[in-house]
Amino acid sequence: MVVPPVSTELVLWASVVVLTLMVVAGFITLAESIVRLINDRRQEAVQSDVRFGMLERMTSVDPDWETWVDGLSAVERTVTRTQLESYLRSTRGAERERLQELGRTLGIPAEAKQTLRDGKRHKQLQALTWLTLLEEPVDEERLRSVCTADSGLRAAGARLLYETDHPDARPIGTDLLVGDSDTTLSVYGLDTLYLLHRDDPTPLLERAKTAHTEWRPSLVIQVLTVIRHCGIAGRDAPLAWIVELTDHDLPTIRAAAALALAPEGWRSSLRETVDAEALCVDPDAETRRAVYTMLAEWGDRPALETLSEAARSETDQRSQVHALERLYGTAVSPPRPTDGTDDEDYDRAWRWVRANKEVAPSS
Amino acid sequence: MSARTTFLAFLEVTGVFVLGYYLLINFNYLFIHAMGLLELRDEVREASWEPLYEPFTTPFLPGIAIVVPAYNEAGVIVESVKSLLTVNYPDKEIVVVNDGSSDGTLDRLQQAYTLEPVDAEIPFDLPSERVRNVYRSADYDDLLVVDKENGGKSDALNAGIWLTDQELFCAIDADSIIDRDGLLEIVRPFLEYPRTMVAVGGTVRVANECEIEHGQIVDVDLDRKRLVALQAMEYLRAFYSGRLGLSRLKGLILISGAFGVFRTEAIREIGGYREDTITEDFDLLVRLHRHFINDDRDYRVDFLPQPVIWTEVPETRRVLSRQRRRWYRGMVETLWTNRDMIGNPRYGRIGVYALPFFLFGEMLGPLIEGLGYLIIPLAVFFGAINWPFFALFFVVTTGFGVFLSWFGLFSEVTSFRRYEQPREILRLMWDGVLENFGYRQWKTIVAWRGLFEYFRGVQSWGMMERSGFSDGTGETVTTTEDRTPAVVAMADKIDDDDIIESTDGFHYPFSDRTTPPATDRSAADGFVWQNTDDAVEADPSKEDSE
Repeated sequence: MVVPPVSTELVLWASVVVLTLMVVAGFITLAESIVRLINDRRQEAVQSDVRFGMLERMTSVDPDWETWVDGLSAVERTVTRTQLESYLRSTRGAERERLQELGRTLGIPAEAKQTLRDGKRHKQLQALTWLTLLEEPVDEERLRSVCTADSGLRAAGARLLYETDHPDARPIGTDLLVGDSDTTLSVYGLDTLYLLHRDDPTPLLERAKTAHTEWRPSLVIQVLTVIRHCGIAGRDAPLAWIVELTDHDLPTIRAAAALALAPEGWRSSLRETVDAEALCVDPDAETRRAVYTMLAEWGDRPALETLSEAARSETDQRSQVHALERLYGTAVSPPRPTDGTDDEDYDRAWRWVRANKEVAPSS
Repeated sequence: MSARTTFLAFLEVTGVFVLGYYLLINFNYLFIHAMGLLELRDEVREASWEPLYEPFTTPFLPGIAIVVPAYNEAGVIVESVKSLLTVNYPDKEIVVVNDGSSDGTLDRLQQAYTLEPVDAEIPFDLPSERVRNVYRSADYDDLLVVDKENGGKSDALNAGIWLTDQELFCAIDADSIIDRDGLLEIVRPFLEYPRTMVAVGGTVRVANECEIEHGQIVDVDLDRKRLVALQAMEYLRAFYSGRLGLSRLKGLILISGAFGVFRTEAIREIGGYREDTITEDFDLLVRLHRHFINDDRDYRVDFLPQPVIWTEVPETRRVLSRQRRRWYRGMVETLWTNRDMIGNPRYGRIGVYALPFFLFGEMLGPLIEGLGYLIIPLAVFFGAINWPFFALFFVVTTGFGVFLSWFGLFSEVTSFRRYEQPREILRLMWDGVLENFGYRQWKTIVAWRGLFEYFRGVQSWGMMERSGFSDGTGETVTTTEDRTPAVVAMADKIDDDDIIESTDGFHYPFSDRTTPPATDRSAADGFVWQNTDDAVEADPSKEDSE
């Protein structure tokens, strides 16, 4: 034999190892499955009673939650918490206030604040969510110390400030969300930043003006996206930095910058500053499309004429259609094609846009 | 040295090689399973709290086009579209691509959704067969129907991708069911990494015997058919361990063709789906990696376990064999096409880990294991190796295989628990055992057959063979008009004898193709070749019956 024979002992040991792995994995899997099902069943058994009890008191003038909560078993309390969270997400007004009272009666705020101090990350996130749903304010310093580890915690902290109407929700929340230059926003963070600045993005513009050079490109794009969706900024809001970004090395940033400028076209000073013609010849097609959107949203005659010219000279078919779609129905309708024109691509794009608009005006 | 001595030495060395090979491969599988478990733990923790934002009021969700290739789906297409129109997502466009159907699929759509033709020539160059017409619905702004010449699934997908304006697209099969909030979940990474995220995959699960109401799965049930249950076990292991593990290692090279969301522009950049490959989804992601790495651009590919699409899997061994052979051929083809990336440090973890893992684990693994089943008993018979060696080989392959299956099941039980009942878990555990006694060995034969077919140049697709889903009354529904509540079933049961060969000797679920193989939509995975595609290939002129 070329290699020494395998001994029976080796096989036995290998079998023992594999069998042990199997038994452990199998036992834990099955046990876990049984335990979870038992828990589910216990909770299902009390679900209706808890729901009816909760809804009944929620609509009464004096819910007397304490008496009700005192009579709940441990399982019923668990189910109550689950249902309470669900209802708090969908109710408003007096009913919501009564449910928040129930949360306080269950001792959730104190428990959540304790978890915030010494819980693990996902427990802290759950705690912040509870505190937000119950609109329980948390000390600013506490939030700043807890909500630093990652974008999820920062977003949850900022949201708590927003939902509890903290007087400094906007600056502190913004600081939490974009204070770390080496991060990007979670979806929650993006939405929270938007809510904080929805009515007036001027403070965000002020902050981004100086900070954006330190941010990661993804964060710059996210903040520009938020700015695009916010309301119109104050007259003196700084926009020059966004204009500068239309010349950035990254096409995704150039495109986001153009879109962020779109709602600000009412400022003649801005329209005069932006070299729209130069932007219309950007080497990146996606950026050009963003610029076309910007010009269409500006909607003044020079912008539309620039757009019309760009549509005519556009070499990318998709971008050409994009430009023509935005021109359609405006004061500066694109010149109609004439049979025998030397620009067949333009004619085709024009006909396509018109046919689409006739069939589905909102397309 | 006598011939006998040489023969015995050959047997012995081969036996040792096979055993050593499998020890290494198993170590790798265990490593990936462990990574998958860690990733799943993080995902479950993340899912344990729900952010307070409301998807329908936030302005940030990007538009998604759901591209649905359809060939001869008159029986289900109206319900399928209705189901998709109800998926929770604020900015979606359903793009149905009628791929030259001959059964009135387009007529059904026209009647149901008041389609009006866009009376103009398409101004883009489309990488697909000729588009006859584009229609928009007068009733639903978010429905676009493309009617084109038959060209295969990839071809149909390309037409849809080129004709939508949405930032993202999701390719699904006309007969699969997305969880109602599936799109809301799967889009998350695109918002968190707006500059770099290019593709996100979701989980595919077995829908046979599941109960459906209003286009949604309302009761998850394990099919009583052994073969289906074995596949359910495989899918669990593959998605909850394989893909999650590879995703954690930044080595995900396959997103199932049945449920993936992609950045539309990125896919257009690489020319869309290839029509001359058997596994267009595997090929697509590998090309995507290649493209971005070659261009030295930052990019991300992710996998999320929570969003789920449900699909039906083959119920007979013959059909399953065809499916798996096709997947195998597709894997060999993709690995061969991209052989310059394998082991190439320029391609980072994709080159030095993910692709070699597929090569040695998924492609060569079953072949070598199959060889072991042949050589090792022979070697024992001739006395080249002893019985304990054979027992060790059995423990390393079969015993460890059971452990890995149960590992995958553990992930299911401790995470999103779509199978809630302990009896279902027990059945799956039993299937995890049975899988390694007969089924596993059978799959090595399938792999060898797939390899031979690859070398013979077999490029068949196939016709669908579906039995349909339960309609909520406990009765299984097969597909014909007005009978299915929500989905599925493409055709009544089709036997080999019923399969009609197309002009190129090539079939795929949506058509008799008239163009060369655009082929399959398979999904290789970290462990099992799985795809959501229960389409079966059938090429009676080239394939033997099982």
